[in-house]
Amino acid sequence: MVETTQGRLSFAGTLNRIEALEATLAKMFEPAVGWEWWGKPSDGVRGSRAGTHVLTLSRPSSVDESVWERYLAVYVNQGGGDGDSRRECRPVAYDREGRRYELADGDGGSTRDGDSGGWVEAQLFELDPTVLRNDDVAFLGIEAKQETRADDDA
Amino acid sequence: MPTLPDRPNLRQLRHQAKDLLKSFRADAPDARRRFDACRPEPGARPPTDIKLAHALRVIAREYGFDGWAALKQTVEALPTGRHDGVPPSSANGGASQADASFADTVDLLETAREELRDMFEPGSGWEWHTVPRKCAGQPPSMYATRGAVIHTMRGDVPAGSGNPAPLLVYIAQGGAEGDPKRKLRPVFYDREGARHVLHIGGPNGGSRAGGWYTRHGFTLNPEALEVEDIAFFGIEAKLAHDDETV
Repeated sequence: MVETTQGRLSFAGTLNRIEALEATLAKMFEPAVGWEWWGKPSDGVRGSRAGTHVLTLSRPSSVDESVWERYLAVYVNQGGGDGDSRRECRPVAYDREGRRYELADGDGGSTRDGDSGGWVEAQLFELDPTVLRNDDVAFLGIEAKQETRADDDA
Repeated sequence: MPTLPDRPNLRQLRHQAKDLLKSFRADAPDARRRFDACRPEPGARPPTDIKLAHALRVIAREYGFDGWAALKQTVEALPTGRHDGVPPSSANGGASQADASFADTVDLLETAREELRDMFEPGSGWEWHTVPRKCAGQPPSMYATRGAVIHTMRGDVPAGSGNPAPLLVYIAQGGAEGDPKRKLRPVFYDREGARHVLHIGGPNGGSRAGGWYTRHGFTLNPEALEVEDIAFFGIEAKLAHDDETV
């Protein structure tokens, strides 16, 4: 492929167009007031990435219990040493039209090492499939509450 | 022959092409008939090679144009044409103009990605095990994909050479006795689309009770392509003959 000059230009041109569109799209994702992106929305919504574990789960439908419906679930994982504080985070899904959906806080758990004070936490968030079907999730990001620095309060 | 609507929309026309391609790949007779009717040389191209560009051409020819470029040029020249960036206001049930612009951008992005994906041609006799994915620089150091484990790492620099470190790629795979064995090889692309095939390095492998495994090493010579210039990374595969070592 792309052995000709014309082909190479076409490849490079398409790649440039993709990156320009990605940049345009990235500007359209606004975090909520008082929040900032911990993980900017991306369309690689399946699988795991640093700090998150994205799952597709199933449950009986609330309409017909004999039907299983798939829904999006996201574990947000955090950890730190003694004195480190956890950040308040929440996953945010977008559909293809750009409408945003905050995932509801579900189960979670944490553990702390008594000697070192180190801790880890995994918090599960779920997206109600009656609000947005799993297959209709186009982008997924993670918001974190903006941290207030000590000198901001002074 | 159908005629273009009064206010043609390139986005919707692209959607028609995508739907047509999807139906064709699902072996829908009607989609196959439409492709056959618009093919310049009937039967010349095997179905596995049909891509979005071909579906766009079918749509264009059905509307009486020579190809997609001619249709696009015509629609964009229309003073009231609804081409990209001017979406229908009520198409998404009352979403705002900003929402519609978002949807258009997503659509254009997906189309551009498909166009790029269509440009990746595997080598003659090979097929994609993993279609090239974007990776700025070194691919992930370790990951599993479709029955193979990929491991990438920077190699040693000969003392005093001043050369950058080469990139080493190891591909491990295995299977049960009787499982088809595939040859796998890494392929890199730079931002211009130039392809760099890595040829097999030192193999090692063997068999265990009831199964087999192989591990091959490959080296990307920095004189051919520096790691920082890698834009895409894919893996090609072909079946090995029974008497071949993979």
